[in-house]
Amino acid sequence: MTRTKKPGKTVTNLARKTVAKRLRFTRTVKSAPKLGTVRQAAIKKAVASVKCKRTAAKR
Amino acid sequence: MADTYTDNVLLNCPFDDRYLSIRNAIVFAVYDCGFVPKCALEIDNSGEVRFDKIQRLIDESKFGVHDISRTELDPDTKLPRFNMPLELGVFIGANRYGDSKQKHKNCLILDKEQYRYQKFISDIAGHDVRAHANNPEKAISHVRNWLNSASARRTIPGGKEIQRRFRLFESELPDMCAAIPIDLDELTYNDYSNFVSEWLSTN
Repeated sequence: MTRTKKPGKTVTNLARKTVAKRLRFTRTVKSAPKLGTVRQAAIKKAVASVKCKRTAAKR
Repeated sequence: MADTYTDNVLLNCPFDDRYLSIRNAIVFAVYDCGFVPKCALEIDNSGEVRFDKIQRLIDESKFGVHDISRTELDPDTKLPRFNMPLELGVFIGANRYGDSKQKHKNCLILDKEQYRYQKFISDIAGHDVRAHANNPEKAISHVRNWLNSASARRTIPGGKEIQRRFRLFESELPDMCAAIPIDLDELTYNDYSNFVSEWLSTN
């Protein structure tokens, strides 16, 4: 479908609406209660390394 | 600080080891639906009275999951454990008597059998009590379906997809713990929540 610019609407407004529409379907995972910086970084690293292992095993 | 009231889901559930698999499944489902579980276990402050802590969490949460499945006789004292029904009462009271913000509260009541509650807390008849049959995947479906209709958000994934991700997460958790290193049985509620949140963000 071709989108046409309605009278009174600027192109920027149209673009903003499209982005907003797309965002509505994107789930955002919320952060858990903060731990210490070192523990937080260790968890991040552990999750990333297990994901790498899984991806490598698939190849 | 941003107001997270509409994202917060109070978890009023047992803390014993027998219940751990269902609690973990509920925590996972809440994060996967884009909400934040709030549990008394996340606050490690001996200086704060426990019931004050719970009331504060109730005040801060629009949604609440109340599991009354462990309302059973203690083998030693032969008396029932009534903490969960008490906190459910406070939640319903806040909904009934609170300010305009509190009046939009919404809760899910879980039990292990569909009509068991009628034998010990019959006054909540009329509320929709869902049975999880001590099955974590059933608990995931109930939480997902309830959040989907209670929040009307269009970003909530399907129940089967959350169950699939939960199984994958649980299978990878021992390796993630080994990488830290920490034993699985040493994981605190906050550790587990951080693993779930981080894993869902990267997968």
